[in-house]
Amino acid sequence: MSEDKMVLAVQNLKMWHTLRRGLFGGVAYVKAVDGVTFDLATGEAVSVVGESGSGKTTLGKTILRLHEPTDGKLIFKGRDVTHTPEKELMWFKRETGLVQQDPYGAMPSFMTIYRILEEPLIIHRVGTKEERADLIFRALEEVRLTPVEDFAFKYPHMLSGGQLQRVAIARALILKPSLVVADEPVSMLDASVRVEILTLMRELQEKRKISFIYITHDLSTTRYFSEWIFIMYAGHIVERAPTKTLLQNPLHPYTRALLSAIPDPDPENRKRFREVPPGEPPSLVNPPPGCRFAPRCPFATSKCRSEEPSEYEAEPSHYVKCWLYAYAGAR
Amino acid sequence: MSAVLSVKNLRLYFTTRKGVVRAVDDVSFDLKKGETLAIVGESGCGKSSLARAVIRLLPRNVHTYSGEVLIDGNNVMKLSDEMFRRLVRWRKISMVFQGAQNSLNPVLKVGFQVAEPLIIHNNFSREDALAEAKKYLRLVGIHESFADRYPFELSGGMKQRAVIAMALITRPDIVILDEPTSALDVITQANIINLLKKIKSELGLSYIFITHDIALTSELADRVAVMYAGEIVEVSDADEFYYKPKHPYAEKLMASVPTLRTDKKLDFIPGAPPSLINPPQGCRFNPRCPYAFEKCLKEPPPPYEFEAGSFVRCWLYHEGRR
Amino acid sequence: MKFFKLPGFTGAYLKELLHYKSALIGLILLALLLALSLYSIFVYPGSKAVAYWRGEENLWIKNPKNAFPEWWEIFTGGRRLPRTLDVYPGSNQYSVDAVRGMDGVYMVNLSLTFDYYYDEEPSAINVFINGTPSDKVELYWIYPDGRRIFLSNVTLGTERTIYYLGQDIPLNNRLAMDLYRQIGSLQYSPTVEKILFTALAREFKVQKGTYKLVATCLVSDPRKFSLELLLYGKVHGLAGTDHLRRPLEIALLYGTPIALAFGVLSSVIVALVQLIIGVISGYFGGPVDVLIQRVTEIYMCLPFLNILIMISVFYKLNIWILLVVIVVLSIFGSGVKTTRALAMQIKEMPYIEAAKVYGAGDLRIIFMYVIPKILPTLVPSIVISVPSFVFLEAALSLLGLGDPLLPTWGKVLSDAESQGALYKGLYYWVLEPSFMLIVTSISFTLIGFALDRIVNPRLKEM
Repeated sequence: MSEDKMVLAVQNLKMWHTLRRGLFGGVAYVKAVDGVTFDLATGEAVSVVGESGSGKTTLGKTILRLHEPTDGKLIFKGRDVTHTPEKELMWFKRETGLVQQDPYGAMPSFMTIYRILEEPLIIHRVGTKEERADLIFRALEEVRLTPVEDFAFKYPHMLSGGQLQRVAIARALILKPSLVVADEPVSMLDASVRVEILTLMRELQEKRKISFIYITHDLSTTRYFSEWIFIMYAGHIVERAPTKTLLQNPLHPYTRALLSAIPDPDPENRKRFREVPPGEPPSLVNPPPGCRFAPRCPFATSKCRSEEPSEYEAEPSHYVKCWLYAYAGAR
Repeated sequence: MSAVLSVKNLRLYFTTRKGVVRAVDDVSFDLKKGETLAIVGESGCGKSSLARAVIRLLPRNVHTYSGEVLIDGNNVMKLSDEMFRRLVRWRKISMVFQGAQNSLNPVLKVGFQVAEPLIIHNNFSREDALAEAKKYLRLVGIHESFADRYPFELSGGMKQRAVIAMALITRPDIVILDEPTSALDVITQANIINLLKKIKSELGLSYIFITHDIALTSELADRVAVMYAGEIVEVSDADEFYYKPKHPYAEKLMASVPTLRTDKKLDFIPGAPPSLINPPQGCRFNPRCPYAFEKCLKEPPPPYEFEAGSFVRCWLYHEGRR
Repeated sequence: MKFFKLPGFTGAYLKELLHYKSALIGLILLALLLALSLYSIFVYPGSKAVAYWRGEENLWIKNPKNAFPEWWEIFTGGRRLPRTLDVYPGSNQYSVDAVRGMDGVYMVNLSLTFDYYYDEEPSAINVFINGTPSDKVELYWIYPDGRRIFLSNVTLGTERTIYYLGQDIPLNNRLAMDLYRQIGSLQYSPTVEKILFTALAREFKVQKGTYKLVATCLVSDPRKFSLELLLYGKVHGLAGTDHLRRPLEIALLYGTPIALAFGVLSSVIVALVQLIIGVISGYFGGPVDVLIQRVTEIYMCLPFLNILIMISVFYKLNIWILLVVIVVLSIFGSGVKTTRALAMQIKEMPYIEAAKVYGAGDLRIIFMYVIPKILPTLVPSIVISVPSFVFLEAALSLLGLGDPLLPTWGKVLSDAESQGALYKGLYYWVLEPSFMLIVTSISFTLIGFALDRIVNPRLKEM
């Protein structure tokens, strides 16, 4: 991918949180993101799918530089922002946005919607007061919170979860960023509202050609949203593929387990048991040696248990971090 | 098959500063022996209140609590609170609560907590109860040694299993499961559902399975009840429901759920669920219903029985428009 | 910065507050106190009040000393307590008769008449004589039953003399001896005031009727000569008087705005400073946090009152300096710990994270995102703390450490204490300022606890 078409390049990114163990214990690390590599092109939407504890949220936050990476490189629009100090990152903050999981928690309860949307503009000194007002009302229209005068001067607790999430989207987009990270944006909303919000995000993403990283645990929503799916397990991306390919032909044993665990509404479901691996994801403080899924994997060999696999291109554009596909040659 | 649980005209209203919340508003349904009835609805529809109304775990600000709850033919609403506690709660019916992993007492050992219902309700001695608790821990897939551990030492999935053991240990006939897998990851969820399937057949239980996740209900449900704004708007057999739900709300809800294996056009429901204090006049779904006509705005539709035990509250069916 | 603008939903809070009856009572009391404050500021603006309180140039000479408030009669079971009677020249009770004598000396006969129907004698009797030095006055007293007794001869030394009848000991002895001779032993202690108003009997009983004070005078200039008879009552005004004849109403009235201003200002300033320190400590963490917390802990161990007493012994404090000192001694208090805890919680909230993503700097986050979230939770405790600061000022005044010039409630209590009010049975002197303090305390406490129930969702009543 040529540099100017690439918005984000993540190279072997690691984000370890330090845990102090009591007075005399040494230091331990929660290895939330432990070596993640991928590229993201302009206008491309990617779903990062994983369970809680997989590191997906930490990945999203690290990409936004809410944490400083422990290792690896983060290259945004050709510039290395891995260790840039905060004060020099204002341009980066203008280019990025975040939509969070909890719509009520994500808004300051004491500010009106208008003020909430005005904050990013004020901080980056965009326009005069009148110009800002214009931008704000247009942003509200774009996320279909109309009539805008009604919504602009309400407080967050007066809006429903779905409406607030639209405000969050408006806020993330108001500076016209190139990259938006959406961390479980619909998991706290009712089922009937989720589709509305996801559709809205997708529309805006396509219209404005924004690169999106959509973090979720709900694989079923990804097909409506993104071109690519990344599957995360215990701090690693274990499979990367275009959406349709991954859903039709999952290669990594974990992905397979994930897909077989998710029910579609089918009355036959009650008559059979699902085949899923037992156990739970490993602790990120002491991950097992070798492949992290090995303890639960039905195909694990002794090599899996001792050596961590590299990423292999099993099919064109279909990358798997698993010894089963080592024949394809390391990427 | 006879109904092991029969609920008729159940009402539960709460008094709040802003008015009377009609959380459960004239709900009726039957649960047959050995079957699972799923109650599906979105947040605020009253399904958790319904569970609590059946098992009589009421808060202080109750305004109205009326109706009939028949267990094995006996109306237990007539019992005093003390008699209900002794004879019904955790004897005939038990419950697994929403967010159950947080309902374990952090300062008591897991084994003791699982054993406690036996000590309280069945007058077991401490040793006997603990032995039985270990049996049930095994049944739900937790190794016995965890009986001596504290809840924080267990993972989310294991805590959920422990809570299920706690609900089963007094051998009730009916178990109410209120979002039993909500905070768990998908694979653990599948494991827990497998467990629930297994023990249902092994112990001959009947389930009331409450959740907002329609796809998940199909894992257990023999019949599905859809709840909206405090009312049950449809009850159908599973085989029919998942292919073609009858009530417009159920239909739209089904259409808004993304599926993994099929490529379907997603729909959504505009608007928001109504307040339970001031529900709309007539059919409560009429403001958001694409098929609403004048009668819907004026009169609330009574249940239309299209098969034995299955009904839908919708004028479209009464008027023969469907 | 929009920091000081009241958020739009304070209106909702007020409405919510009115749901609680206790808060309603508190608000009514507060409204009364505020009304009193406004009234006193208009009627006795600052310096005027202080001047009144100093009582320069015998400002209050016509007030009785240590008089009870008029409503004290409720407790006397029907006995009417004497009010102050002023028989002054020009009134219809005053008649003058001047006759020219020889050598340019005039003989003036004055007759001061008054009706007396109270059930007790006056607390003191003074005769104010104005004239030319060396005028001579002979005073006689006429009872309603007609008895006439000679009181005294007074020669004017200056242009204005005050004859304190009650303190004339020879007069007292003479009149008492007369009474003993006429009646025998008495069942009461014969003071001048009692003697001059008693009926002739063993027990003391006020002779009700018309009395006369007659003066036969030799004066050089009748035009410059006048007499004024003051019969001091035992009750005076709404609040009584103190040992310097000052009406306590002034101190009680003027003390209200002082107490309110002092209490509210101290409480608010201390809370705000603690808020900022606590938030900085909690938000930044690390060495800053450690330093601030240790300083706070040491500070909290210091003996507040002792230091305050020490300071006021060495330096004369006026009330505003006192406020500053109290604030300075309070700023690293326990409020720092609570706001720090709150700041640490809020720091982790999603909207703070969102702010960081769109580029908000630390200072902006602290002042526009964290503090506004904490402020509503602090309001109840600010309100509830006001009475303690008011009490503190009163206590310091009582210890003699307060502002010596200002008429505050504490000063009244201090005077009462040093004058032995309770020992002398002058209960009103202690009860009245205490009552004001209690009303203030109840008012703020009721409002504060109701606010607490609103702001703290866990305490909310369904």
